[in-house]
Amino acid sequence: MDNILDMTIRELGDLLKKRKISSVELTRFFLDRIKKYDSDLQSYLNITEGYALKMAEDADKRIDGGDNGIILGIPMGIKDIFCTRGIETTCASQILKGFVPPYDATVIQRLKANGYVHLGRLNMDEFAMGSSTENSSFQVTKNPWDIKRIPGGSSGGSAAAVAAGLCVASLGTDTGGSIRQPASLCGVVGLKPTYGRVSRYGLIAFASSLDQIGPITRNVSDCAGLLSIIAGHDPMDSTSIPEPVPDYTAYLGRDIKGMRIGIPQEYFIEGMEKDVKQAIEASIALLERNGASPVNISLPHTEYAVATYYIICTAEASSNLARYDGVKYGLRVDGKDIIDMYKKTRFRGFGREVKRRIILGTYVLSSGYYDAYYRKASKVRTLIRRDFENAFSQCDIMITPVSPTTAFMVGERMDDPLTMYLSDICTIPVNLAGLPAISLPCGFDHSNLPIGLQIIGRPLDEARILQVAYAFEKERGVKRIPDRYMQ
Amino acid sequence: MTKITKDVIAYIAHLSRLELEPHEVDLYTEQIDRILLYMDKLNSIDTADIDPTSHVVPLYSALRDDTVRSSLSIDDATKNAPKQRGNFFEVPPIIEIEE
Repeated sequence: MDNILDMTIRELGDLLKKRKISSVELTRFFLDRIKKYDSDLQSYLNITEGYALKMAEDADKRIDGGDNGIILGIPMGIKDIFCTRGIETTCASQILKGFVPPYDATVIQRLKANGYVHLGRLNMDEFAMGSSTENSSFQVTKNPWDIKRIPGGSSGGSAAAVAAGLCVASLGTDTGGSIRQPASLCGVVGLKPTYGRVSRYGLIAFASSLDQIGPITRNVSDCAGLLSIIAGHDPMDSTSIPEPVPDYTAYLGRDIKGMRIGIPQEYFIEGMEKDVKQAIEASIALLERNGASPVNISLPHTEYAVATYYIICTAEASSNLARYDGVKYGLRVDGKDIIDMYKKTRFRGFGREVKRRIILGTYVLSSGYYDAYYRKASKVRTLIRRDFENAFSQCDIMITPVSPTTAFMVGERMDDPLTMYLSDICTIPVNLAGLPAISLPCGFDHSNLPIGLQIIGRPLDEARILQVAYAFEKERGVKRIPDRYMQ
Repeated sequence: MTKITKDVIAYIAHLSRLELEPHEVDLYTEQIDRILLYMDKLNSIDTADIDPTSHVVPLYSALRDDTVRSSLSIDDATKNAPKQRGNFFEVPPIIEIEE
């Protein structure tokens, strides 16, 4: 059964359809692995064994009836941020503990319609605020390549579980790098689609002009397959783009001859680890050997992206998180009057990073400071977006690192929020501009920690990103499951 | 130079409906001050003639036919409430009633 972990979703689907294995058996295989390995990895917040086996039985019946979906009967773990009817969904926050959504997010509806199996909910930074998953109110997930280190964040549980083979694939969310950075640090594939490509109905909101949902998988083919299921217009999300969805898998295997690859000079910053820089340079050389043409480009406002992002995302978060008031759902702590109840509920329910961001966001929106911070940042955002528009006249895709460093130690950056924020320098500009980008494994550093390569595309050009990523992966062939999870 | 004082943090916390402990006020004052100083770098860019971006994709008015559709039942909509009575969310008194 161990080679199951090397298979793509398509290959697993073939086994299921040929009755070489049933979805129930496949689901048990992953449930057993979770029991065996997750006690020290701590990627799952909750395992829904009975629910999973029921879904697997239903999938087996559908397969018997000749149904033929990409993810039919495929066991997945899901970031704890998507409303899932009847399944506790907490955003890794005490304030939502016990919240059982009465409806499904659109992405969950689509996965269900396609017959996925829900293994459980995966850990994350509380309300997706963080780069290490250490801000979860419940547990600290470790990096499968070195359990003294963090898995990245905020989708750290998803990336760790996929990397350790504790599910076939996962969904994450990305506001400033929360899919791509943990994918990079855990050595798996993570795609943030174009803003508006995937419906966010039923996604618990953090920063609404930035949040986007995407797949986290062990290979590019699975990523393309999952994206084609979750992408597309949804009348329930007013930011959803009404454009048709291409068959992303059709682009896999096409050659990349003549593709112009932009290399933004500003991303090769001081403080980038030597091993990371070398791995990215080797990756560019590999693509060049396969017929692509590198061109140096410039994104001159890159150095302003982190400051811009932390004004915009905290402002939006302070507004979005006003809904947690102890009235409609989640925690309530009684007080002497209603204002006191709000304050005590939010004091007890939110963790330190969430409170820090609510205060910062309220400050930058407050009377007298709005123009100096929020309005200023919104204008700089225009400049950052224009940088990309200009640069894309000279290239078809861009290649950059995902993170300037490999996985850092648990606890290393917790007392220093600004340093933690600066670790997202390579991913944040992409969210500000609303562009699609993938992180895929491109090598290891001297401590055997994974390094990720970022490929950024034009708006709605996910197909080209996947085409290049697939060509790269085919040539590079990166090992994905750490040895300790293969015993 | 500091950008922010403990009094301002305490006031913003009140606006945000967050109770803070004294040590949290100290911690956030120091940390948010550093973050705001870092954000000052935006002031080196001239943005006088630049329009702000609030959304990166054009937003369409999402219109639909005004047809009756099913929605969440009252039970479903209220079942997660910490306190409820009948079809209502229950909260502490908001307006004092004089006897």
